[in-house]
Amino acid sequence: MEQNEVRVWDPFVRIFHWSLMLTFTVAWISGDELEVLHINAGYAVLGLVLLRIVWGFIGTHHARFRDFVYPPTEVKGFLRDTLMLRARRYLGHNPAGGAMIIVMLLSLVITTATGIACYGVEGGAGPLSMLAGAPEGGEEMLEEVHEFFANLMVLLAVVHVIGVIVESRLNHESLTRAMLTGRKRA
Amino acid sequence: MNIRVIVFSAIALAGTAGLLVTGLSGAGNERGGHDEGDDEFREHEVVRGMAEQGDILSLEQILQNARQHRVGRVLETELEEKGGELVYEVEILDDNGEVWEMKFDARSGALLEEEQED
Repeated sequence: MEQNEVRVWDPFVRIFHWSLMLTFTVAWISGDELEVLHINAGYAVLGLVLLRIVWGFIGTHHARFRDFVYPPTEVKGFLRDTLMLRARRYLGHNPAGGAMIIVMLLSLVITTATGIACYGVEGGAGPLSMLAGAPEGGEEMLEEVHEFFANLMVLLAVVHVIGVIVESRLNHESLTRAMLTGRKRA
Repeated sequence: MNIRVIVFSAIALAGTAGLLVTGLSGAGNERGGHDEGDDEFREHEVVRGMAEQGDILSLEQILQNARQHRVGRVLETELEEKGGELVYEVEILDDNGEVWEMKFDARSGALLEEEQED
């Protein structure tokens, strides 16, 4: 460990982050073409998200929701300060990053849940296979919700990356590196 | 290191790797010898057999039935298996520019369902 560095992200948080990026990308790309791959990648996404939600309650200090869920006014204040280049540095997630995590987790829960429901209705398989034979209109709606939130997730990921780049610049540190090593300057 | 961190990390890693490998091998199988095209081909064979034996009506007969119900241009026809029964689906664009989807029992030629597409 370099001098003046502290552990911020535990191994699970880091594995979660990069595995989610990988599995979501695979699920996204295989969406229309490779059903088996799409479904397995989707299960992986859901599993990771559920683990992360539990980890938000029992995980290490900076991994807990308590550490990064701020009231909306504070998120707005932080964004305003960032625009004026006077936002303070956070060791864990900053208020905007924390809000992004919540929105992303929710989008992914909705995306995977509707995906599994579609699979149940259309394929008569998976955990929701009892939905098989539901009216066609219902399935179309599920599919639209599924696609909408999957698309929203891509948009959120883009905004997330922009946020990471801006924060890294402003604080003269690489947040990407921190998500790999788990360490940040104290 | 905290035991919880180890357990969660191990589950995340193993689960991700396992599901991706399962998915990739499944995708490989889909490509090689068991893809949708293949199933369709088999379905074709079955359907052709049934048509030859006179078990189901020909597409020409179904189209005649369809034209009796709606005048217009045939956009698409499909023979599908629904709940063990073979069903012809015919899409017709009528003179008002509306698209109708009709389903016919492939054996009797009876109109089962008709709905306007949006």
